[in-house]
Amino acid sequence: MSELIDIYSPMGEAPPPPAAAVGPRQCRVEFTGTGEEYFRIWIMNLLLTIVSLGIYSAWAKVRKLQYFYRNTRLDGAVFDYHGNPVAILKGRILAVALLAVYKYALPLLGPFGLIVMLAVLAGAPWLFAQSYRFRLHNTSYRGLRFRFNGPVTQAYLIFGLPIAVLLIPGVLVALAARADPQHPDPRVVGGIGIAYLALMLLWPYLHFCFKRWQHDHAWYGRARGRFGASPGDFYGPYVAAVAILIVSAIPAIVLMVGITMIAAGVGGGAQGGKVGFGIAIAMGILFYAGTILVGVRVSAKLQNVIWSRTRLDDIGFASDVRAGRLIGITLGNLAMVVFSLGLMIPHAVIRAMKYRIESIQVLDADALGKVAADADSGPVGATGEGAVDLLDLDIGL
Amino acid sequence: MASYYDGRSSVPFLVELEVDRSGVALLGPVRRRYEWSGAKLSEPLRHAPRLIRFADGSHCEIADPAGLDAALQAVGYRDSWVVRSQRRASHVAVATVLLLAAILAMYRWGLPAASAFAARRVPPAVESRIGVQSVRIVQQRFGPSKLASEQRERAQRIFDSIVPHDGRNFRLVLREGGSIGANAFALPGGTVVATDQLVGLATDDAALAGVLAHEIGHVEKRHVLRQIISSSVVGVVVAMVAGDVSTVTVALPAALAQLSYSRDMEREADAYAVELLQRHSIPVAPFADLLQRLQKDSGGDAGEWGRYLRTHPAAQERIAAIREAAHLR
Repeated sequence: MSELIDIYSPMGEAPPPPAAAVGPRQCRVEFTGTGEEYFRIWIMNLLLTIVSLGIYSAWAKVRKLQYFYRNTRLDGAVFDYHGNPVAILKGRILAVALLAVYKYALPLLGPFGLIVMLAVLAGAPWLFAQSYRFRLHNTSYRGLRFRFNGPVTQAYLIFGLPIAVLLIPGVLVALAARADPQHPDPRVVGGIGIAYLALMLLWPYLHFCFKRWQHDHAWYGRARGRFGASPGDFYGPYVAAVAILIVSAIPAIVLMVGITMIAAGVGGGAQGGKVGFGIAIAMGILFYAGTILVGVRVSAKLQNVIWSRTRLDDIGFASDVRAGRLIGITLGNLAMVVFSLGLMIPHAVIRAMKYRIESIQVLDADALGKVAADADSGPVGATGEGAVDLLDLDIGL
Repeated sequence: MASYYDGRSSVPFLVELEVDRSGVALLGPVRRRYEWSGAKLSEPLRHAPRLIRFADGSHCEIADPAGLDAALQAVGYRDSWVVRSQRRASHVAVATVLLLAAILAMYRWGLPAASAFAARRVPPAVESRIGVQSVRIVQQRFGPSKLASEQRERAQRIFDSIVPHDGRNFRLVLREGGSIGANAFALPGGTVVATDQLVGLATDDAALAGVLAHEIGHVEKRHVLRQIISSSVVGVVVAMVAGDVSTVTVALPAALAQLSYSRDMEREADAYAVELLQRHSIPVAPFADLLQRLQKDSGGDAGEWGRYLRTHPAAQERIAAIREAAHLR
């Protein structure tokens, strides 16, 4: 004997009536998650992960992403995450193994360890590409999956330069120091300096290439993503950031020197030294905080640029993140986390995410409801996603 | 009422759902019936719709979880224990307390025990390999010893007299200390490095024996290895907890944890040193005096706050502990 129960409930937003529209209907993304609700998920996740010595972390990740995705609402429908925890677990185990090999290769294997390290690094761009493919393939909206087919070779070009610049100098320095530790060859040091400078100058361009690689090869059903920005769009925010740092550093340095001299004049050399040291530390901390905030500003501006220049077939997007507001949220989050000794981390995460997500709009919501599914997208292995997670790298859309 | 998506296009269909024990029926523009066995129901969230995913790739989004809940209860469906637990605030509070307790237990007891265990399992060959690298770094950083040969022989003699003779590879290396002054440290694999200035300052043989014994203690207990292992684990755990938070805020608790482990190991080495000295009938007091002198030379303790930032326990504390351990025997 079965009971048939009818379920009558009003829908959030019924699909709009067709025709008679003035222009394409815009729709803003909503985020309905709350810190309080996420805290419960977060705490359970953490407890079970620690108790299971990390094994539960794959399931924890799925729950977390499903919470975020399902609370992201666009035009009455929500996103969903389909990742398979077992696949993610396998990926994480592989990542731990790789990390251990990378970290202990040099001390344990001597010079041969260097080759092992380079081999691991050589696999990194491939892992990134895989990870992104997996993430996107397991994201769906209105029943259609996303897809990513960015060529791995491009990943190598994009990631290869930073990896080379960041690591090969370290190797060279180690080799040069071996020869004469007190006076490393100035040419080598100079060469390394130039390499770093080159990386800094090229960074906005690399960032541009990275976003283009991500968005140009992303698919939603049969709709294809297109990225229309130019490198100049990326250089703008970065250059502004550097300018802000320089401009604010000058009075700070002047102040520091001034106070130190006054302290020295009043209390003698030793006193001046101590005060100077203290002030230097304080300035160092402030400067570091400054770089973080400036980084937030860059990320806010770039989010706006990236989304306004991304299209999905004919559907355009917009983003109106305000740097000042985001900086305020970041500072507030920092205070929250520090004063709650970490217990308000979930609230902080939700707060920042909500603002960012709700700044995004779709410029033609009706077209979004008319996309056809792609022919066949087979399952994607999760190796990549697990690995990148552990390396704590953020590949945000 | 629910939105149904057939997985072949993004067009939504408004349907009504009828739930019974064996499955779900859709009524409206789409008429279908799905068995529960092939369907997956999402966990209930407060502000998000509930999803039912069907085996053929389609799914439903239900905006009124309450109505669905009532229906499901009537047919005997129960959420997983994790989800049910999560909904009760009392359970969440208990989970929070358990979590803090688990972290504390791991930090105070679990991790040191685990890294000591792991360090003991590391084969000596591997350990000496790690040590070889460190020795090379030391030899590059510090110039060769400038001590007179009789001083060097004296140090070697004292070292050989207290070192455990069980086939392991202990050796003493003397270097010119340069900017770090009077100091000594242990490297994995059994190498103890002492600076010229330390040998010069420790005019009393017993005092020098004490410092060397302390360093031998580090080797015996494989402290450096333990540090390497525990720092990796601390790093991973902290990253897991912080997750999406900036790595900077995270580095501080990790560093504090590491420093606390470091202080514990210094205390262990001190205790070992006292025991080793007494085993060879060497007076312990000169060792304590030397520590006192070293502390005075370096300008005294940094006060209350410095306690948490130090790699070694405060000199006064060490001296008191050493003196007390010596009087107990």
